[in-house]
Amino acid sequence: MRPPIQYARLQERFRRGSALIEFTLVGTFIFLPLLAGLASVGMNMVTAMQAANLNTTAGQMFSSGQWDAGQLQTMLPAMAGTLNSTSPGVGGVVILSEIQNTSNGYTCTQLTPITIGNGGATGASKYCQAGAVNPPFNMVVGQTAFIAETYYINPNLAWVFARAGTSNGIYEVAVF
Amino acid sequence: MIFGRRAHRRLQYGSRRGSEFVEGMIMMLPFLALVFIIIDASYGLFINATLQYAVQAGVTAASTDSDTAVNVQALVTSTVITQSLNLAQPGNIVVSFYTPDMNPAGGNAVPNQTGNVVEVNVTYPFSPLAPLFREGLPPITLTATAATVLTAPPVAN
Repeated sequence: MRPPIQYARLQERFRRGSALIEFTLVGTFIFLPLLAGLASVGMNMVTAMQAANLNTTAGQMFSSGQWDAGQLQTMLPAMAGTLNSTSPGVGGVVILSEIQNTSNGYTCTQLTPITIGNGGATGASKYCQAGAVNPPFNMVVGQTAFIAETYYINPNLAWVFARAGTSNGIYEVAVF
Repeated sequence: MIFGRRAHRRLQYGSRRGSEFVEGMIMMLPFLALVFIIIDASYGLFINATLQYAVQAGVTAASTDSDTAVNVQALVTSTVITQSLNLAQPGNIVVSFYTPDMNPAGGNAVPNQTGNVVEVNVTYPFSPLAPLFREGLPPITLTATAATVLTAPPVAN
């Protein structure tokens, strides 16, 4: 059996430098992912706010009927601010649909999707699809709903979630 | 041998006494640097989100205000300052008007004509709280922009 004092000295020697190793492990696996996640979530949140604002404005303009499709194609990218990025893969689409409940059932028309940025997210309308109209709520006959949907993604900000394969970008919807 | 075995061991223990404290202090600098980076990043993101919210509130106020362009600009400026928790300064707030074809309307007789676009831009010079690696470096400029269409008819200037 090892004498108790010698054993204690061995234990001391093994513990030397342990704080450095612990800090390296904690820093690598906890602090840095925490920092990257914090920055990623925060910047995506700001981007989502911008996308929501753009989507609301697009829906408002579409429902007012004061602007035609050509004007919307020109104005919305210019009003998108920093969302209208030139970086490859950063961008999205704004989809504007009009759903009507006629006496023959629901019908919908859709403008050509308006591209924001340079590539990025694409998607189809969840309410106005070819051969299928899914109104966001029950509409009475004669009622019209104007729907704005925006898909947007900035892969440069998806440091954490894209790696896990869970990031589908931002989706916003507004009904007028 | 001057010291006995037991005394020698005692000396060895004595030289190691407090080593964990010293080691802990050495690790304190990178640890605090990480903590301050997290605080600074959070603070920067908070400011960015607050400014974004403020400019959106500013353009909403502009779009519904039936007044002269000068008064609309004053309203937007005060709205942005209030909604940004006084983070935005009047000199850093720019209110611009555009025609529907996105040409500047600032020189027009009525810049805030119904159907025109109003754009609000705010910049904020952000200096990190942590006193690390910031000597001689300029502050980071945070920018927030929002735009919408004007819906309220303006009154004559």
